[in-house]
Amino acid sequence: MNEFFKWEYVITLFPKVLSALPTTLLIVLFATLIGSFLGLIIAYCRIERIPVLNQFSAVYVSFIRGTPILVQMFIVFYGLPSLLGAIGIDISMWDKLYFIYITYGLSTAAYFSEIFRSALSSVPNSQYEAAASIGLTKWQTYRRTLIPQAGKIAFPNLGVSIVNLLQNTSLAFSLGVLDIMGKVQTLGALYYRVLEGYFIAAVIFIVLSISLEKVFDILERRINAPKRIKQNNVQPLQLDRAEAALTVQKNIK
Amino acid sequence: MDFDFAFMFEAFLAALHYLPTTLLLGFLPLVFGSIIGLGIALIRHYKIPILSVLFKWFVTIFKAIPVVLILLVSYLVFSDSVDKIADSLSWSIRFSDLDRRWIAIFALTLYATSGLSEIFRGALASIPKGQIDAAYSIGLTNIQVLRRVMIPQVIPLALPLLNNTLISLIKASSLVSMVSVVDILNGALIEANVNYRYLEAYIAVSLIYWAVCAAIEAVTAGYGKYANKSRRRQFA
Repeated sequence: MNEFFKWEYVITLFPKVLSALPTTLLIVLFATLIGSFLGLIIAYCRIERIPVLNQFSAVYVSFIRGTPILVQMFIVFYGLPSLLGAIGIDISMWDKLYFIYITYGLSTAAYFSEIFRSALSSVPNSQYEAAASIGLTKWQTYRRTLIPQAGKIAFPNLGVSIVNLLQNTSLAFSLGVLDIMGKVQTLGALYYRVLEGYFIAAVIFIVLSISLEKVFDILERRINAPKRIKQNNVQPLQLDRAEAALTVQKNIK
Repeated sequence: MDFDFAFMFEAFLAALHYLPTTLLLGFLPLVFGSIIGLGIALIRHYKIPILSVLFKWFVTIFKAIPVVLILLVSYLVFSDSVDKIADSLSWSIRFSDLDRRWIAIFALTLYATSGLSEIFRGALASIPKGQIDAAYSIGLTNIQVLRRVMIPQVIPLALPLLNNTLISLIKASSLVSMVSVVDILNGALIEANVNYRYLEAYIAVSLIYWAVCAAIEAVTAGYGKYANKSRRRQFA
């Protein structure tokens, strides 16, 4: 067992694996951006029940949720060039990273759209009607009443979804992209030390996920903060009263 | 753009042949993970001194590790240690004789356990404290409270949430080709290795995954309706 795992390799390989961290974070960033944008559009189509788009997006979301990201990745990788090639756009020379961005963006869009949809539909209907009654346009209604309220509800779920996305990006290496897992694989082939590489990757993923969760926790608390500040302002007065009441009681005794 | 529908159908049939493997890799980890997860949830619910802290760390760590890593590491560890352990215990088992599917099931169980234990813990916490006090007040022992009051309520609460785990397990089982298990994805790809029509193979496989996951969702939705109906009948 002593040959199996060596700490000195962990120390030598750690900076090398860490150098691939930006790739992983970029995948998460782009996927989140594409996902939020497309997800909002899909959620809008489904909430407003726009005739053809509603059914199409329902099928799309069901497909993405029902198939593994690995399969989606290869469908995009093999399918997109031939699909765009039929129109006359040649993307076969693209960097593989772009396909990863597209795949993870499309996949995240489906998950985000469900989150947005449930958050938007949890805002009471009367709010929408009230906004319409004072003459707000649809865009104003969404921007000023629905999205601010739905955002608060959607935020924790988005956090969970993004942490999941981070873990899913570990599959990008099967397309040959040098993210953390890809780097571990290539270093493993170079040094013949795979287990140490996996150990480092696990440590990085654990630290990243836990710190992401913490960041979302803090942000969530900050979003809900204003109410608490008001409560804090009230509290000292109540305490004073309580003390006064206690002293009165003591005096009586 | 040339798309070979005939080959897609061929790959579809070839993949369908391995559907039992994928279903096995989805359901068995769910069953094992539920049993272990319920145990962990109970340990953490009753706050058993050292174990609850230990399992808290176990759950946090395994929730944060991608499933690919769990799969690859367990394959590596198994491939290295099974022969040695078998030698030292003078068993006649070799690693090459071992069905690789069991490694995949082990890894997926590990992956599922942390999520499942959280589901069960949530369900346990949602049982009102008054019921447990009431159960103790009529003289039930600890185990009786567990068996007659808590578990019967936890399972219906957790059942709709298990479908999410099952779906993610079935999707995660597409990774087992990395430990040389032939599931539906690998089955279709073997078919495609002949003529490099990978796109058709992947689309065929995605259709199967989609059908399986849609079926699971439909069953869950049906169960939810059934559960609501039976609950309503009780009140009437």
